[in-house]
Amino acid sequence: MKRLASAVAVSAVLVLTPVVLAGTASAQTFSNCTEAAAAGVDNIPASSPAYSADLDSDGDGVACEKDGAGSGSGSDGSTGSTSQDESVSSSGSSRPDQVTVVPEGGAETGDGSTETGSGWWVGGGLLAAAAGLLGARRSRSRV
Amino acid sequence: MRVLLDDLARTPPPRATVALAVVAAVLLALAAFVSVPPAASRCAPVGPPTHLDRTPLPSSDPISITVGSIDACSSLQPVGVDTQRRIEVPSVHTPEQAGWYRLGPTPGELGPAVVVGHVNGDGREGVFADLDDVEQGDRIAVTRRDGRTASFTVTTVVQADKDEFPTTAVYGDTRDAQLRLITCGGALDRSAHRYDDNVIVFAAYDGWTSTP
Repeated sequence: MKRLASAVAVSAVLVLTPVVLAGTASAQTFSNCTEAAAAGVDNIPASSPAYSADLDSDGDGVACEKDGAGSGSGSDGSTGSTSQDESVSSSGSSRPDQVTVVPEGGAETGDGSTETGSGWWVGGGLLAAAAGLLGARRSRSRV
Repeated sequence: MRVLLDDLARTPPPRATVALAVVAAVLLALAAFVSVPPAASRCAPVGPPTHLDRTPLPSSDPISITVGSIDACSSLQPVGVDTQRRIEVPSVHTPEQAGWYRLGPTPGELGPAVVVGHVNGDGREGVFADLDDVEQGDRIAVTRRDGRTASFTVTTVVQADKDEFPTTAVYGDTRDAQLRLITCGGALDRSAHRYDDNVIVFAAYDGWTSTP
């Protein structure tokens, strides 16, 4: 019975392991730019899950910038090999203080009211006009 | 007069009138296409700063913003957060109005200053309707109460799912003075009148000019 239990446990681990590994691979994060470079990753955009502000010293939205990439004002990994990857807050706490209250999530900046709205009106107008023309022609030919 | 009206009511409209009405409808529809506003710029041009100096400025509330490349400009209304700690935005009924996030740095000051604006609202284009056309190197100017116009250069433009908003990139501490512009983009959820994504412009401070 004990044997069966351990066999079940082992097979469960075997089955689950690849899933867990795949999970970590798809949401890869790096503690510094050297690590990222070792994985062949650079110029990580802010929209990527691998992005972190700690890896983006110039705060331009691109982490671990390669030299020559991004703005001319400097790149994230170029300030020397000893730098601990541009961590801005020297205290080590990740809590920023330049923004006193960090909002949750994104901004609701639009209601979509201009999307194809006028297009529908114009399209409708043209359709009506076309129908009117057809009708006019038909009534004329009948006479 | 009455006789004339009765006559009109009794006789069907002449064919010529119908044809005219149809032509008018076609012309109206065409006019809707043509009357897309001509490309006369509404905003003052944005030039490079006269004082090229990246040293952050002292705090001073912003007054207005201009993004030269997309001819977008607006006064800046201070906004905070709502009860759910979501960033407030100016009313959707005044989509031409941009807002400055007052719980962060002022533009030109050390840190990430944030400006939000609608892409559209109430059937009209918003101040940031064309924000996704902004490119790296474009110039942004923000006038401030201290008489300086802070100048910024766009470094990056990203589009991100609101559910995975890059909070640290946008609001995290920076080493110098930065600016972020936020609006909506991506797929539109028509029933909720809500966009899935945010378009975010990252820009770096590079100097100032005395506001004329």
